[in-house]
Amino acid sequence: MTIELICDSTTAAAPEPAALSSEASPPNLAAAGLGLLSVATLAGCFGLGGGGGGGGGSDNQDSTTIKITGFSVREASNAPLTVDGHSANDQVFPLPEAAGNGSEQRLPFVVRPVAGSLRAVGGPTLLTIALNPDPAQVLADFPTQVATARTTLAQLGFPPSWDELAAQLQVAPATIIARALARMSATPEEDYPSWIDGQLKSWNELKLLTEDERKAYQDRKYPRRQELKAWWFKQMVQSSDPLTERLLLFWHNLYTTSGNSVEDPELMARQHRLYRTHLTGNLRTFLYAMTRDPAMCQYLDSARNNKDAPNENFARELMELFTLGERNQYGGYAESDVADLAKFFTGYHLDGHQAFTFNVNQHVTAAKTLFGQVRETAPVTGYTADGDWAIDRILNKVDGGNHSYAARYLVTRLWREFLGAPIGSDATRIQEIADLLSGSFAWDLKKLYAEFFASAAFTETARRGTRVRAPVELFVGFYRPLGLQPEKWDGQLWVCYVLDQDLLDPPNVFGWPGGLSWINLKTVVDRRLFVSWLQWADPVKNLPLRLHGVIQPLLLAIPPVDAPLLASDWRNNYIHTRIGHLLTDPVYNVG
Amino acid sequence: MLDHLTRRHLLRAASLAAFSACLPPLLRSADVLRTVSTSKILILLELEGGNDGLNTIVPFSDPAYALARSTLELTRSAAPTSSDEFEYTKTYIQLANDGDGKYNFTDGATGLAGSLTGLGIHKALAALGPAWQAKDLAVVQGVGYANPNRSHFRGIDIWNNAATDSQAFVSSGWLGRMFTSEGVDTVSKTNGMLFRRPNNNPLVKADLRAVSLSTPEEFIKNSEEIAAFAAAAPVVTGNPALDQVLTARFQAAQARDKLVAATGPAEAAIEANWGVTFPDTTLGKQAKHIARCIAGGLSCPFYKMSLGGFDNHTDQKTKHADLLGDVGKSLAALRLALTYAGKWNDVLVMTYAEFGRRVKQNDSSGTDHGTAAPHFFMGGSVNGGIYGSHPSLTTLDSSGDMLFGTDFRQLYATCGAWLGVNPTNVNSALTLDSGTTFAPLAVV
Repeated sequence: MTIELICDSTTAAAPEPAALSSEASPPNLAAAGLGLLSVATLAGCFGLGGGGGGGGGSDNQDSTTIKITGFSVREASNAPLTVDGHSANDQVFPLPEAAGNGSEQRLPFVVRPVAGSLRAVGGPTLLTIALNPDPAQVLADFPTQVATARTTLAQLGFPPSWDELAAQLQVAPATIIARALARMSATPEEDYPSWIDGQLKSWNELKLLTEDERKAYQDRKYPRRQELKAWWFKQMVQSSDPLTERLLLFWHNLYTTSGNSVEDPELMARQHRLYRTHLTGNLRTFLYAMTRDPAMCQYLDSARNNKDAPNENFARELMELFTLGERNQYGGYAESDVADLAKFFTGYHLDGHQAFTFNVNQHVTAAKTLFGQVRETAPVTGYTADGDWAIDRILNKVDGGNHSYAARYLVTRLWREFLGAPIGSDATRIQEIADLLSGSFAWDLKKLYAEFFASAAFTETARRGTRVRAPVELFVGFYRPLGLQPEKWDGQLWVCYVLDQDLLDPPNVFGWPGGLSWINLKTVVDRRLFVSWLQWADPVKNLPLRLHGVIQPLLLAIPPVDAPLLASDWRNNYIHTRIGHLLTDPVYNVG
Repeated sequence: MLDHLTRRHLLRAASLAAFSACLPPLLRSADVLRTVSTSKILILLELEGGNDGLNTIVPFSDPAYALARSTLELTRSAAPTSSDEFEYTKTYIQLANDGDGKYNFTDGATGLAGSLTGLGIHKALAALGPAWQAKDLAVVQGVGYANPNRSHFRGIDIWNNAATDSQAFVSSGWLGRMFTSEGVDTVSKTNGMLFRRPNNNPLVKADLRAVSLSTPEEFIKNSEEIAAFAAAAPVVTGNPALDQVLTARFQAAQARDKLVAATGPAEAAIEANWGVTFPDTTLGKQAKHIARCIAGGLSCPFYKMSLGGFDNHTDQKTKHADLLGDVGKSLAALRLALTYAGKWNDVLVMTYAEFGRRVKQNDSSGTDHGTAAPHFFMGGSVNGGIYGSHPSLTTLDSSGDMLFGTDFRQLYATCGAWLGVNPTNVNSALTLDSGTTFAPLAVV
């Protein structure tokens, strides 16, 4: 690797930006893998003030006129030098003004592995690069950068580990957002449970089974449901693509389906995978697919929606909860539109194996109307596209100002999920994003996320910690930032259940109402109790010593409000106690 | 009131009275659970999802009923002779006044002389028979409002906030407004106990003025670590999320103090001393703990319990019967327990839901979202009987739903009057910008 020193152009008699090469780092430092490149005793290195410090002299320079303003880095071989998986070649890392003779400056510059020393090619050592792996020192030196990186990363998924955070210390939020979006994948890092695509047994097949076999078939349901929940929790904690998992939680809660109603865990898992596939795609095709998802067809009764007496359940929630919003407050549609829409999804049935099948015999084939527009009988696209036609009309529905209802509703839901209830001029920004979504973005969801996360609201310091965290975030927000693994991945599920967030089993089609309603006189008590148990979780003993000094920014979005443990308190000697103190602070509930 | 208390029961009631006297005196000056001045108690039961009124109070004498319910029609019960274990899912019992000043449930075989009402009650609610006979049970028919909303979520908002779609949006609950208009400090005082679902209640949405809990013991145990925070109200930070947490913690700690002072008789004592068995169901447990709190003298004017599962778009018959069975048995047990505790005359129970269901059943042997429905009042002071007339099953609105006869806010006016709220304040809490005054019913 070559490290260049960038010199101020006004500096007289400065050498060409000194091409420096680093030597192999000492083995013990390299093994650490990650750390902070620090420039020790700059003045001394360059012989300022009489050559004190750890440098090797600078007899070839006019040391009194040199002013070093920053670093850039380049791999000697011109191979890409990567920092956290991204090219750092030629990235300039500005150097703070040296405070004076013999002072020490640290840079928030992390490479892996980190080199040990700098010297001019073929020349003497100019300065010593020390690996500084002490996170507490980084926190002390760069508190603002730590808070900013922590906030940005937490907004893009879940609170980051120290290593995730340290890698982004000097990176602009816009770059962090772009990296998180680029990392999103339709394929989870760990495969879904192997049984996900197993064919479900039809009634006729079940009849052929012995009683024991039938019982075994029934008995598979509960453990598989739990396995799927635990698997998802694990992805939230461990995935290097936390944004996808976080958005999946959002979409799962928007196009809700409950495993308590849809008993076959395979169908819930397939819906989960379907949403994962579509959440980075186009909203229109996402909706087309969602209307045909077997779990959804079961949950909201499309599977029994017949032409003679259409079942309104799916049609009503499709408009009210999934796309347009409640008709009086948001959606701008009439009660009669519900009955009209129900006809479009008649015959959206399931076959004996619970796979989607369009049953034209139970489909209303006569001409149908939605929002005053007519879908002719015998359409050229065929009846199977009737529902898609209705989805198109829903997306096209605009208010008096020509703004899309569906776009505004979706962006509002996103806003509430990631930022909390809109305040001040948020409505204006929401409308701006919504207009882009229905306009130039043409319902491209990745463009939506990029625009949404670029909202100034995300960088406002005053917004930090103003959103109530959902129960599952309380547990992901413990294991992920501390880099710990629970003893059992299904261990937190019952606690989430008690705290009203049973993953994949929301209480009703509205999903979890979230926001301030997470906190009431029962949950405020139970949350504190259950998270306090985490301090005694066995994995805490595995917490690396070097992280002991940074547990507060890892666990809390804003400073705690309860009285701190007095410095003299003997309990400070125990990491368990110090973690417990942070977990039970009211601030642990906000993000 | 029960008119057939046995000596055994009276002895039990006497021993309970002695037990109550041993409870620590309530500290009225720091009374977080009661801020209205009367000793009256209101218990609400929410039938989540929208109850099918037609198959609860059955207008069997109207031929349109059978026509609308091809597979869901309830027929007259042949009990007690029936040997069909599922008979309770398919039948009704006729509501009758036997001409002797007593009210009766009559089945087909033993129909009594007297003025039959032309209405049946779902057989699954048979446990309410004694309450009906004692005139402790009132049925208000056709409860609803104009231009009804058929959304679960908006629907229950309307019921909780007592403001319909044609009015300006209101986010406060009707009961909270009545308390506030009484000059009661509802911001820092806790006025209610909510069981099961804490959100969405008539005090206020995202409520911090009511304790929500599963059992008093669990709440007391789980909140041990925050007991110290009862001492002082938190400083407002201006961060809405953090203020919500801090306020909730403060109020939970205060409510804890009150519950510690009066949790009532132990669970086991209910059965052992009173001979009352509550169903071992979600609703039965809620009713049991409410009975304990009231018997223990907990100073709290408002309780809410809820039962989910009424949103039956498919295969409604058995599911609905089981739900009503739970309602009937739980309310019957609550009545017995509070009678023995000497509190039944101070209690008014009222049911509500976001809407009723459509007259014509759907093609999935279920019912879709509808409008008007009957609701129950129960209590020792209730004037039992039928109130209001049954909505027409043939003159329907454009969606095929019944037209309401009694505005739901008249039920609330009844509750307000029961709780002793000044009539002017009842009016102001319910009228809002509707321009209408809602008179209490003569139910109580």
